[in-house]
Amino acid sequence: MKTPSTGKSSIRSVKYSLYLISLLILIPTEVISAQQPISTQGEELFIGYCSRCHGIGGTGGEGPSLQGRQFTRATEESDLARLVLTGISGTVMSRTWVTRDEANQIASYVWSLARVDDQPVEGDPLSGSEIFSGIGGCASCHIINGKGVGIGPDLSNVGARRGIPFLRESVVAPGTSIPKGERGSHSNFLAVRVEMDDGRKMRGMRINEDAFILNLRDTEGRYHMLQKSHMNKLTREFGESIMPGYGSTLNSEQITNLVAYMASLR
Amino acid sequence: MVKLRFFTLIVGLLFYSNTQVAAQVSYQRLVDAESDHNNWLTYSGSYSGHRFSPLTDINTKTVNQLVPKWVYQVKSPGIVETTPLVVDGVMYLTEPPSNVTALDAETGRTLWRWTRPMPDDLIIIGFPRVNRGVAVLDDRVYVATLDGYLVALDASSGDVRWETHVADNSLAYSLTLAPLAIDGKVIVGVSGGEAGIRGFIDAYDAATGELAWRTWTIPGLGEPGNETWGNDSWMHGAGATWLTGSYDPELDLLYWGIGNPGPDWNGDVRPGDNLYTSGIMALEGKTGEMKWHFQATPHDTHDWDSNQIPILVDAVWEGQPRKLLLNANRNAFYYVLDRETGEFLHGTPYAKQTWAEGLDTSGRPINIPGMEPSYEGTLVWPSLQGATNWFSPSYSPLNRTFYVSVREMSAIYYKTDVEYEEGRPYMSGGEQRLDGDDAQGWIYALDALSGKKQWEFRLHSPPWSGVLSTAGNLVFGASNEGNFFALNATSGEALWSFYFGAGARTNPMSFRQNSNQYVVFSGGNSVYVFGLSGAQGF
Repeated sequence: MKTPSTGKSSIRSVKYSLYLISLLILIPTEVISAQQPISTQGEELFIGYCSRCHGIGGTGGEGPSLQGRQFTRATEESDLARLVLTGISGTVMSRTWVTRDEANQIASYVWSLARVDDQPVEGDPLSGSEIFSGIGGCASCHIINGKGVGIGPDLSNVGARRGIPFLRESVVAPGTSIPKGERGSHSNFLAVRVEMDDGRKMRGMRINEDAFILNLRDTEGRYHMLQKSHMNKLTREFGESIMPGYGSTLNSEQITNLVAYMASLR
Repeated sequence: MVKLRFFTLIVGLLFYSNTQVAAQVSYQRLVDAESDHNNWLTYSGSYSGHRFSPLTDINTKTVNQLVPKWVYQVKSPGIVETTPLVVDGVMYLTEPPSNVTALDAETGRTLWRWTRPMPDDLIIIGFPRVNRGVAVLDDRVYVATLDGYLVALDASSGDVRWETHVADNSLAYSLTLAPLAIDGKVIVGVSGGEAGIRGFIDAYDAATGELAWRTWTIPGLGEPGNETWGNDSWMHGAGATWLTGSYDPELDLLYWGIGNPGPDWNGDVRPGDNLYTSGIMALEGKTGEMKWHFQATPHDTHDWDSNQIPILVDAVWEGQPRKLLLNANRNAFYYVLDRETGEFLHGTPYAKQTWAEGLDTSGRPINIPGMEPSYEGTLVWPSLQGATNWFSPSYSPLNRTFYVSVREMSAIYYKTDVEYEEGRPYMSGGEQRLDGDDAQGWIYALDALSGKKQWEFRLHSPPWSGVLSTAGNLVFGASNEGNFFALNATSGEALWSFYFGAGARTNPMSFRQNSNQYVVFSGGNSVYVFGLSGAQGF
């Protein structure tokens, strides 16, 4: 069976434009490197069959973003190929009408979007580990391999999912790594500030939001159910984070070591 | 004694189950559907497409007493977009992929179920495995199937009366819409606009299943309009007809929305206006002959299907009584047309759009240069999914207001190069949508004649559900986050909501049984029936 013909020059143009747009909307720079395909044919097939829902480059659409994902239904590449062939029951994703070989190529491309290759990293991971548990205070909000506190995201395998630029950015300016939406892997960490009509003022992370209710989790990990009909003001703090930036509290070497430690978590 | 007991049992069953008899829905009942307070007889509730219920038991004062009465869990998981029909106490709904179930409308108990196995090599390109409902006429229930068939079922048993092959699924034709039954005919359209099909609208004899007429949405060689397709591109020009149209029995005119041209995003290969895509066709019901057409988006390159439900209204326009057609289009413009002639009367944006300076006196958009998809990416409002989509609007004749669920959202559109191959995607690009908190969902109330916004209700995200208005001065809707809700139809104030914990892709409807009004939504893998708390449940 032949595959859709897609001009290579246009593919290159699309990649270049993705690069520029990624910079404009502050997609972490690892996304760009992740878009360098393992399989060009897999990317072409992805554009033809998958991008209508998952977006060109897997940035998300009606379907979720596939970039930097901790897949819940796939622990290895072959699982993704199976999902391509069968669809996901109970969701909008129906079977994709491709051959097994084509499914494998799509899976290979998608896997490349979600995983970061093990690569040499500047810095001392051991020192970074000490910073994480010590002066950085990171373990008071993050869990690694079951240890720590679950206020922020679990970082147990963050090195396999996130590249060095992203990790560095999340330490120095953590707000930029939070997507403006609810489909990304960090969507539950958007900072919101609320003023209720009974005088209460709160800041925390948006856990859930719909037309009537907002569930907020404060910095102590407590959950608050807030009715919008009793809300005087709701501010979504895009570009901000509950987590403080460490650009001024850690020096350059410490940051490099901390990033090296996180990159080693695979 | 045994005979007496048996006789008593039979008599008892006859009396007790007197609501569960075979549907007998004459054509005249369909014509009068909107004044039928108890039943919901067509996809949109009436031929006029109003999705309006004349019932008033559930109103602004009583809606806070609304509680779930029963819930039906679909037996085959998937997206539930069905609008159930209710005929004399029996509810007919479809389940994914193309199954039909008849339920006792008052209690939710299953009466019969018809299952359509799907072939392993079923081709579905560009849409999920959905079905949006059935049609009824006389004692038959009609369902269109994903594998390209129209099937007539016996309304009392679910047995197959006939089935007919509509289109070849190996070419990626498929059927997802609820058919429309008119006088002696059943009308269907096709999906497959992302796979280079050539779209059409078919009418079948309601009694036999024989093809009565077919009207192509892409004119063939030698036919008027074919010259709007350069490079022989008409052969795979798409123009799918994947949502149910409306009908004016007096004029015998069907009004059917036509989908995008193919390939979707690279218009270079199809120079010209690409008639009759991304517009509305008016066809004579008896013959299928096209009486007029109106193209909302000539040479569409953003996948802005024009399949949204046409709403038919009689009103005084500039001092003269006119038969009007109202359409909130996926391209973000609201149109008022004369439905006898197709004359453009008025058009205005109802959602944010950045692709046209406005409309000229004929309704043709005045395009802003540089808004086409490109290899580099082009930011345009609305997104690929449009300012609205498959889900239905509603029109209340009581206050002459048009209610519509709106997706305020943009996307970066790309084009690529593509060649047609049978049964394969033929799209040529895509989008990176600006999602999440950059996008918003709304329910808008528009003045039906001017299109001016009367009120708005904010949803958390761009919705995938339609609206129902009622004579109880309510507008019912649903959200992606799992809310069913009721708004005051005059003010937009939220009066009631129910959290059901899954995304909704629903077009609400309403019916009455044994003097109790019910409102029906689908959400997740279930169909929910709500009624007032004082009314008896089973």
